[in-house]
Amino acid sequence: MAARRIALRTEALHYHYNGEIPALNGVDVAIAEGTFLAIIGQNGSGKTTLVKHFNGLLRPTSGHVWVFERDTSTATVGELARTVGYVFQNPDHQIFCATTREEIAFGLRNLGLAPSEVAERTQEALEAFGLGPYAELPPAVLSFGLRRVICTAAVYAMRPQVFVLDEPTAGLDRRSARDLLDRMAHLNAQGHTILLVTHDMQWVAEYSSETLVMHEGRVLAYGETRQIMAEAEALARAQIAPPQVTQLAQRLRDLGVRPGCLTVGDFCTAYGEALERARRSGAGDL
Amino acid sequence: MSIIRVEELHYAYPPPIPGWGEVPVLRGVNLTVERGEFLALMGPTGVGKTTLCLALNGLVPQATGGVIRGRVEVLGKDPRTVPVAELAAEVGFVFQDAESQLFTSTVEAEVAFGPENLALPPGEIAERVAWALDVVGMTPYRDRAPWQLSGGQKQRVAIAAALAMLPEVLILDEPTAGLDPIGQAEVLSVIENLCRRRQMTIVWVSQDAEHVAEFADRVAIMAEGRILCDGAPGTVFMQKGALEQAGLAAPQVTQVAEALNRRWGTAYRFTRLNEAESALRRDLLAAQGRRS
Amino acid sequence: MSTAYDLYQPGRSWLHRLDPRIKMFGACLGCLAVFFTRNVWLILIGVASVQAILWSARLSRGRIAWVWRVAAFPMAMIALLWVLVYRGEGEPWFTWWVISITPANLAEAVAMALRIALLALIIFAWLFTTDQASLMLGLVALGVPFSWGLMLTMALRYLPTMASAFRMISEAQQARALDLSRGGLVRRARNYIPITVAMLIYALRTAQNLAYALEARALGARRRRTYLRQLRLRLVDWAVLGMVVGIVALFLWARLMFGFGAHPLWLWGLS
Repeated sequence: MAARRIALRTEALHYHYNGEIPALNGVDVAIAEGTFLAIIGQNGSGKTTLVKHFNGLLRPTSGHVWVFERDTSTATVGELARTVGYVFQNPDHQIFCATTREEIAFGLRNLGLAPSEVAERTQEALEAFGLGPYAELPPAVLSFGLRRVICTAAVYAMRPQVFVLDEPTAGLDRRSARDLLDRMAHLNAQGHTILLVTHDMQWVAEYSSETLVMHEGRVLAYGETRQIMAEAEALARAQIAPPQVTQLAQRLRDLGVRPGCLTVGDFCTAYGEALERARRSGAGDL
Repeated sequence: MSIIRVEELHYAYPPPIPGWGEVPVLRGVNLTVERGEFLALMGPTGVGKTTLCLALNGLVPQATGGVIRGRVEVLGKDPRTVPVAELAAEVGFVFQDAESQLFTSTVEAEVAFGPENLALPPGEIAERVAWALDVVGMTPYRDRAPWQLSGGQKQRVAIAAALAMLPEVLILDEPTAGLDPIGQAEVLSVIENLCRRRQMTIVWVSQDAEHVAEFADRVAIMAEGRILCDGAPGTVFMQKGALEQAGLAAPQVTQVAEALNRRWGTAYRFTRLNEAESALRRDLLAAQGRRS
Repeated sequence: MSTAYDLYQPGRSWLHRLDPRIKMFGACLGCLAVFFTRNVWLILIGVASVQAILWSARLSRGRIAWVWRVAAFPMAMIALLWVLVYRGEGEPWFTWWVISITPANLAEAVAMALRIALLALIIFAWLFTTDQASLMLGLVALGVPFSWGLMLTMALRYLPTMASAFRMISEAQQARALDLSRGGLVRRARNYIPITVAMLIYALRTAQNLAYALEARALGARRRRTYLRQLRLRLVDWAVLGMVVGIVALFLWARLMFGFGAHPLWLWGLS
């Protein structure tokens, strides 16, 4: 596999809220370009604090953060916003425009783009997220799910290389959540780096290629999602319950079911193998 | 005896902006809930779950305005005409957003707020506060301020605040949304306690099929302003068509059962992790057992 | 984080346990007395006494320092203006253009500045040691309608929530490349529009949720409501009340009859 560029990197990153309350206690991570990374952990484990360093909303108390080899201490939030798009957890923290179209165009104007390009990119984002019918409506009166999609589309229109999504599926039903994540997976396939902060382990298992487990301001585990899901002890320490099928496989491990299953299909395959083996060994003795 | 009876309920919110049309949300809801039943209400966002819940305590239409048609009856009363504050003593409501339902400065004051409004004698208020805090396991946090609590603790206080009015029905509108797994577990154990030990009548809106399968007696699936299907979790979660129409997923173990049934011609039916484990364990052991 | 906005400092000291009505009444009387003196020595004694009271209530130094920080700017402004605008009596120590500084007007400037600090200390001694439930009980017991008291305590309760929402909203808009630090004054003010409007929408949404939640918790179900906690005046409450009333009455009598504390520098001077 060709060596990929490092998109985001931190070194000995410490962060203390108000200069006193420690939130990050020495984080060293290097995230390759094109990764779909899930960041999991309890509330207060430092997930959001970590990702806010990647677009400069927070500045390290000590240590360093690089975004595509650029030290973030030399860049403003506005400059970093071109590279790192951040979709906030609560859509109501950003919606303020009279129409959805305006809402999406806002970031583009801040980037200082020409009006024709603003119009073009806005239209493209509206279409990509299926927001055409709502383009001229005030986003504040639309449903929660739609408000969240609008916020994502607004960031998408800015065409950042990296997307950070903070709890994008909270309060969404499975189908809307899946639609949103499918779009992210599509962007990921085009080479964008996606950071997904979430509590929902089913989505982690299904969408992310790598997983980072945060615990008490430190990285507890970081690696391929399949590997992480099999690390029952680390997950238990971070108080995370893996998806049901992963738990089921884990529980049937003693009967030969391979642990680390991420999806229903995965489990059925693993169970089938175990069943075959059991039958064969049973038959072999006859 | 049916505690909740909803017949052909239609409701439309008033126009969000003057000059716009009304926003129809409920389009003929039929639902009955018996005393002591634990009903889970599922469905995609914007389908009217919250609206239906609000219609059960009268906030729809009394606070929201709009046009309502059909019949609602809760404990033999009509929530459309009985004042919301009056009905609140019998129908407890826990909202999704913890921040806006904790409006006093301490846990104790929060739980006492409802009984105080009911003008109960102070001695009885004290008893009820102590009891409600005990039920949700928040007694040690009595003097804390809301901002000193975690998300799960806030929701437990909100539940205690509703319980202190000794309602016959408790409505919980996605009380675990946005909570981390620990917070969810805290709230779920309180809910479990309420249904298994105290036989309260509960209407619980949830997005999480696995939790619903674990706790609820009955699931009603909403789609497009109606109840699409309604029954025991074991039955409802096997109805693939209805789930798909409502954009919902069955618990993962139920999906496993379906996939295995398709592939091996088995007849598995499970909705809970423990059921799945014991059934599959039995069959794996049986397969190995041929050896002896 | 939110601690900065929560005035109440939990504790079990005598001042915390004092009846909220007595505390409120005492604070009002104290403030009234402060307005009757311009004497720097008397005000210093006042400051020292309230400081002593705050210490005895075991309030943290950080909180007390916070009061001084809050008061510092108005104190400096008042002192400066006083020296510049008023001409004091007596021989000037220093004269330049229209400004002349005499011992008396310097003393008065200091007294005026310290008066601000003293008022702040008295009011915060009350607010730091009275939780919102007691505050409301006190107000209601003094005849304020419950709904007003509820409004006041809810405003205090949601101050930190709104402050953190404001922070989140400004972060969210900055993440959309909104640059708050660029441009002239008008441009900068304009930059705050996205934050202000989003804040407004957010506040309206919260207010609506709040209204629903209040009704769902039976607010207004009965014409009168009862209270879990009952206020009862204990002996010590009466004693404190008597002391405060006694001291303030004695001072006012001396002040009005003999001009005690009316002069900036001399305790018994005439003015």
